Amino acid sequence: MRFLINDIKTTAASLSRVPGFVLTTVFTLSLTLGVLLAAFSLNHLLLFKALPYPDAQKLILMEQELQEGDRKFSGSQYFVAQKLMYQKQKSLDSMALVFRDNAILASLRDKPLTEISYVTPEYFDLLGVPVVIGRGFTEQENIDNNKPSALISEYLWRTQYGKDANILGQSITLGEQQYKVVGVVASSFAEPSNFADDANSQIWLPWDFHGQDEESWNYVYSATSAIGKLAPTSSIAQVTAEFNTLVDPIFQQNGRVGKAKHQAIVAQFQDFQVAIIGDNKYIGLLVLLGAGVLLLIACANIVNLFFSRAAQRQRALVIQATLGAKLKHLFFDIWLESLLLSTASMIIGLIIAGWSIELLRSVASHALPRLSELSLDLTAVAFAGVLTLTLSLIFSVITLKLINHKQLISQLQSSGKGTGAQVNAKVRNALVGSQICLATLLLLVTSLVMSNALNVLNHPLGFEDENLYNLKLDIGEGYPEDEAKMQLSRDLLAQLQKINGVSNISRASNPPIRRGSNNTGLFNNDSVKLGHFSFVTIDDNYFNTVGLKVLAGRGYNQQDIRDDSETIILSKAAATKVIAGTGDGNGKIEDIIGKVVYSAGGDIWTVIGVVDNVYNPYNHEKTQGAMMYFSSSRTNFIIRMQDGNALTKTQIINLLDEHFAEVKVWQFTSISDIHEQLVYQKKLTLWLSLVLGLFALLLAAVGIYGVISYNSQMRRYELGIRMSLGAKSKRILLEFIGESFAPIAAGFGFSLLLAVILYSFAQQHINQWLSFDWVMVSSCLLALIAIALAACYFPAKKIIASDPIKALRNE
Amino acid sequence: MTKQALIELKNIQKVYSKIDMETHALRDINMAIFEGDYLSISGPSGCGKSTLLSLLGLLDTPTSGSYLIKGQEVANLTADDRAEIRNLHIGFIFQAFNLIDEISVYDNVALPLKYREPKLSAKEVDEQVMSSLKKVEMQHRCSHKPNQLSGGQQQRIAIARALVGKPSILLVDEPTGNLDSKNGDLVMALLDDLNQEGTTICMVTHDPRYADHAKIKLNLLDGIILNNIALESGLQEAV
Repeated sequence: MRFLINDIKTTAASLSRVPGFVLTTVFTLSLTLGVLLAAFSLNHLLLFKALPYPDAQKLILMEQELQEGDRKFSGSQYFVAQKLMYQKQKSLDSMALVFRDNAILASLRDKPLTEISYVTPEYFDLLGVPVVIGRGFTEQENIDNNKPSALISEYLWRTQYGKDANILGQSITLGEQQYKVVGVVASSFAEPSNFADDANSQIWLPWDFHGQDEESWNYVYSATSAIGKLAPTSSIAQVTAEFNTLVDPIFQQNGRVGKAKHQAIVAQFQDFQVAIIGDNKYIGLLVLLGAGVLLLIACANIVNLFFSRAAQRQRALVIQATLGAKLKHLFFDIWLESLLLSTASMIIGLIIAGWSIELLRSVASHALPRLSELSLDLTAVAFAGVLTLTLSLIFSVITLKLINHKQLISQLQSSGKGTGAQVNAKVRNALVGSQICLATLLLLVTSLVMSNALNVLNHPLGFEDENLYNLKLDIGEGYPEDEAKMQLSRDLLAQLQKINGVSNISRASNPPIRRGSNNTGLFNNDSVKLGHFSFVTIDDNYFNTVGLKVLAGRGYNQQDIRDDSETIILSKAAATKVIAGTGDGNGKIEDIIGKVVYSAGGDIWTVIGVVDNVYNPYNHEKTQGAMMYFSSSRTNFIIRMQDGNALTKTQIINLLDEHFAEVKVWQFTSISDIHEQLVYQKKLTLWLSLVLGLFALLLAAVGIYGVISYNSQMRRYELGIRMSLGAKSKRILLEFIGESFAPIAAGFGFSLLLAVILYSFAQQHINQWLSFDWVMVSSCLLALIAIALAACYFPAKKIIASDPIKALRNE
Repeated sequence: MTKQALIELKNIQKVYSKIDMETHALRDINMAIFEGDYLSISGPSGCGKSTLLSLLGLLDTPTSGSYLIKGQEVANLTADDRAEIRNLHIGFIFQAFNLIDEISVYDNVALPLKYREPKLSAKEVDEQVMSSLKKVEMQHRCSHKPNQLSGGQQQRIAIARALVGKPSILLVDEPTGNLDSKNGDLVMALLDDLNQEGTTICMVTHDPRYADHAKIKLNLLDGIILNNIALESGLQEAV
């Protein structure tokens, strides 16, 4: 043990004399290990770690798939089908219904819009919901009991109720309904993220209060879901069969009729973990692959550094060999040094991984599932330990393989003139080639991801989003009649127009861009589908307010709004699709004006206008700007302010308090903010890709420069011979660059081949993440070629600039 | 009429400077080499033999002094000009052979011709390479790699490479240093024959037996030429 400690001290002292080598090695390795460990933790969580729910392996997500001819639609559910299964199923141990929505928490002074989960009592047992005080829902809150109980989140309890110990039994008001608090849900509860991108319910209410029509086959909902727990003897296939038997016949009798009469409804049940992770496992694997490639590049760099270090230590190794050191003694010395460096890198790498995970959690929690559970756990630490040991052994073995023990001994017998320790030219070329290949591949992939993100970020919306606001109001229960609602809508419009700085105002069901969409199909008279488009209902001033140009026909007028006319306006992209579907006319958008189209339910609409496209970043890759507009007046407003005039929520609240006391602000957002939110993920992707790409480029630059520079050092003696034989500097330089470029070209070629294979694979599986851009790809290749050229030129130039005798004497 | 020296050194100094000390490797060297000369330079380790040979071969630059080849000052030429002179006028034979292991014997020998300007035709290169290899009786090994040959054979290849460009002078650095006595004798016999045929040779050697092969012996000590003895009458003495 004393010898070991002494050896460690000696090695540490030896390393302290080469701070450049130590810093470069530890910096490269720790940064890469940090990224790799974060990627490992993410993949371990997504692919292997059990969900934090009791009997998680038995849980299934129960969703429905609607079939319409060859087309299949998933993600939306019929309440009535859910309830039917809930009440009649026999193959599950337990089943819970969940519906997510927002409501104004009116009992609080600032009346915040709050995320709500409407659930059946089984939800609490199935997910093992931890409760700080009180209880979950029981039989009392079961379906059809209409008991107004509520659980609130620990966060809400802490921030809004000051952790009031007497919270149980207190009333909270949501909308106009009062609920009695029966429990507080602990903040440790990991709400299943398949219910929403960033599920974060603050209040849980009994299912009965969701307020939707659960008996009708006319509506489907995307915010609803069901969880089941398989009975010991049942399987997903059995539950699927039970659902299809129970539901589809009833759907066929009572379901939607009209143009979409051939619809069927089938179960789409899947393992809960699979449902939660979904395609995100590919993203996780892509990140891990990127980190793995980074590690390979870093390893190639470090192997190169170890070669140089071995060349530096050659004299010490020769002396050790003189004194009788065997191969194993030399190996131990090299390994100890490698282990110390790897361990230091691992410790720093773990800290970097911890930071990376924190960063990931804070910026990507709504983009990736289960991120709230992500942490640097024991598995990751153990992985880091194994990786460290493995890397230290790899570095030592490779270094020792290249220091020929026999050659060391023979050097003792030589006069000291001639070459130093040399690494085989094939190994050097392989190192150069692999560095180039890995770096190019990584850069190509990041450039493809960046191209896609840039495409979305740079695509114009089709209108000016500055100074534009979306205002959604909650009018409460005081206006049951349509006429009263219409009058209120007109009164609100009149008052809002009076706000200082308002330049234009319009009523619309939704803002021009948003997350999610309302869609419906359009058919011709022969029930042939012409397209499936998003739609918004608007008033006569919408196009003026938003700033969309009417390209053909006309926009809506007040008569259309009053009459609720059966007309439709199409965006240019939608009109083009419809024209292509009908085969009418010669393809000009003007030809569609006056044509009649049909809804799935048989409604008849006459096309009266065609307007410019709106590109919603949320789905523009899918829709390409296709959109429909119907006439209607709502209590949702789009407000355009004059330049230099901002609109605030306080202004709106003050106006409502003064004129419409019962109306509350449901949502008030600037369209620019909505735009920012919609492109956030792409921006994040862009930045992460950019950082990864720059890091790869930096590592590659250091690595390629290091390897080629080392290569030139190894060839210094040979260059000296050539110079002594009369070769001129330009000639040597060109020859050296030409010869060095052979492995570089091979690396480029191989990486391009791999990139093509990966791109083909990615196009099938993760198409939405990649797009090809010649400029971006060429820039990456040029950057690497420039680095490789510099790496060839400068070290060789340095050798050539000095007297040949220095190269020959290895001075 | 005074015969022009092939190589002439005047007041050559070579000083290696470090931060805290200066080492005078060569001091005030004056010497001349004429066509057909066979010189040996001897002296103890560190006396400056190899430095002198490097300066003679334009592999190194003097700190001060004048260096003339066929009357042309070469001490301050550019690197490329010096490379051209090396290629045209000087053939090197090193102790460690200095062959490139990655290329064949033929290509090693052809290297000086590859760097010649104007370029030689492939036929000319081939003829000269094979002729040179024939001189050292190694033409049958032309496709081998240097590391497949013995030390003696490698040195013969190095001699062939030195001769291939038909240089004015051969600079030979410890040609037998890495060879056993039998191979050493063979190499020395070869050099003697070459000198007999008219090749000018300047050789650095430790071995007094081999130094005696030369017609002029220079002894170096601490960077100074102690004496120069013309072993054959009729030859010019070094200045």
